[in-house]
Amino acid sequence: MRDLIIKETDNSPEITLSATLIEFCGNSYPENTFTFYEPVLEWLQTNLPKLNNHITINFKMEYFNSATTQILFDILDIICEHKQEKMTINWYYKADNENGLEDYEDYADEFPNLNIQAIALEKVMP
Amino acid sequence: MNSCFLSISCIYQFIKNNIFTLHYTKEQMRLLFSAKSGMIASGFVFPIIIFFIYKGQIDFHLLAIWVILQMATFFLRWYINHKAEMLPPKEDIALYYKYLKWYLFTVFINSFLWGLLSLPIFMYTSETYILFYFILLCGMASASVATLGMILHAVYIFVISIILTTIIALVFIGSTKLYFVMGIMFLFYLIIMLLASYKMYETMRKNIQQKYEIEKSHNLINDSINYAALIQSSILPDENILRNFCLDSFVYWKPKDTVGGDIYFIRQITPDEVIIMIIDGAGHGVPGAFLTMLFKAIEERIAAEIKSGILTPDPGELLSYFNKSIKIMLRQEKRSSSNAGFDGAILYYNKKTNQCKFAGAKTPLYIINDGKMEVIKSDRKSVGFSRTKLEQTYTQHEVSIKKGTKLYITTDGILDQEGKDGDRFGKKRFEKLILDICDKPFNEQSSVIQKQLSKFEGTCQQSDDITITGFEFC
Repeated sequence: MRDLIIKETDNSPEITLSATLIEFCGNSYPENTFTFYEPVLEWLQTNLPKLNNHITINFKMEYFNSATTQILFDILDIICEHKQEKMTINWYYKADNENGLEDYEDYADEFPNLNIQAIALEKVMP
Repeated sequence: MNSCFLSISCIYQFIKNNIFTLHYTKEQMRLLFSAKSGMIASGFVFPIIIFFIYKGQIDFHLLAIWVILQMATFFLRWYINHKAEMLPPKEDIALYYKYLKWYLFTVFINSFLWGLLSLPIFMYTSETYILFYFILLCGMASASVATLGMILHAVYIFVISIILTTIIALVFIGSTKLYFVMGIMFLFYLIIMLLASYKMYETMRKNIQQKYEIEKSHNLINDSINYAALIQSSILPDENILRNFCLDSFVYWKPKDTVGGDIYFIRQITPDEVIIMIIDGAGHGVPGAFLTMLFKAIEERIAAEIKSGILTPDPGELLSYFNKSIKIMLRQEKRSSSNAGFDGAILYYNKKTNQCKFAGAKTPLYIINDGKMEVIKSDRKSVGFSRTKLEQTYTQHEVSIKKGTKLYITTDGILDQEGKDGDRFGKKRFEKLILDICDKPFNEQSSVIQKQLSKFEGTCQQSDDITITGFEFC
């Protein structure tokens, strides 16, 4: 399984896709959300079925646009399709983000069997 | 004389701007690393030629050592070149610079050795052989200028190293050959510098040409977008309609990039009833503007179907209608790549019955009565996206309107605006802002909002399309 690491830019997050960790970290408002996230969706489709160890999935997004909101549903769809017992999914948000908890609930309510944990942080990004 | 002057001033400029800093694009450096013939000539072929021509004139062992040193440098340069060639185009430019510096170092060693050779040549050989040596140097330098022209540091190092070491060697020779050699050197220098400055001029000209092309296409795009803005402004509603219904109101609409995905509609459906729609289409700029055209088409259909009694002017029902229409029109009943839709709110007001109805999709309604704020939260389902169900319903709220009730609806543009301190405008700041200004005349409220926004933005760009509306019905 080849790891995929996408470096952060000023309008897209850092994305880590590996056998033990999947992480989205930063802001997400690329001009063409579909083209940007296409390799991510492909990687997930190809590699999630092959997983056989514990994997942590972290969402550490600070600001994300409406197109990203929709893509996150697609990402969680794929994760849900290949759900495993050994999966920990965390949704991090800044404590002072007014929409933080609401955004989390949008996804937690849509995917109740994924048991997404909400974690409030002082600062999301290191 | 003129070209001499030009070449000198070019070289001076070059020295002033470039001698200690390397400013090359990845593309230029990749071209350098792919040009190998000059490297093979000056580091491999020519030393062998020199060996066979001068082995009778100069000490055999000295010449052999010289050839070996040239070869060693050549192989080092070949190795560095090979490594640099293997770099992927997307590699960080810092690594390219590292290889360039090592490459230039080998160029220096090569040319230093060539210059050093002049010492035994001047001392032990006749004029013909000295002349031949300079012709060879001239040929190598010209070829170097021709192929490495875009990397002028390489040319410069090559030529200057040879000249400097040759001058040092001159110190050792007798006066009989001094003027001859100096004359040849001067000619050599002149030819090379003319070639180098011509190359530099060519490079500068290409850069200016490139900048011009970029500016031209930029202007074309701007012209095109400005024309698109005219078209988009033609679908904006006549705000005067609001005068029939509101004591006072304002609409602040500002796309991020001349055209945008935010749009609003004001439709008088009967003399007593008005429907106001605030819509934040997915995206901004050109793709966003495409969506607003689609929304306008749906809005027209809504107006017609309300007129013919098929639809009731209920905001909740209208949002559902939008949702279904968008999903079907863009074939988003199932997951598709053109995932598009909007967040927004619809307000209905009947001035005869004073009835006001509201429904929203991720867009709340702010109500201020006697300085106190109440927020009606909207539904959390966006309109039109493939994620949203085809038969999605939206909660409709009755809003009680008293004398002096002020209503505000905004898209998330202002809330997500990035400020100069790195934070965002946010809901709290917005709520405080409208509470502070709600008693002013609405056109003043609009300008205060604009000023506060500019102040908050500072030097940052506008983050998203902005639409803020305020109404006082009675």
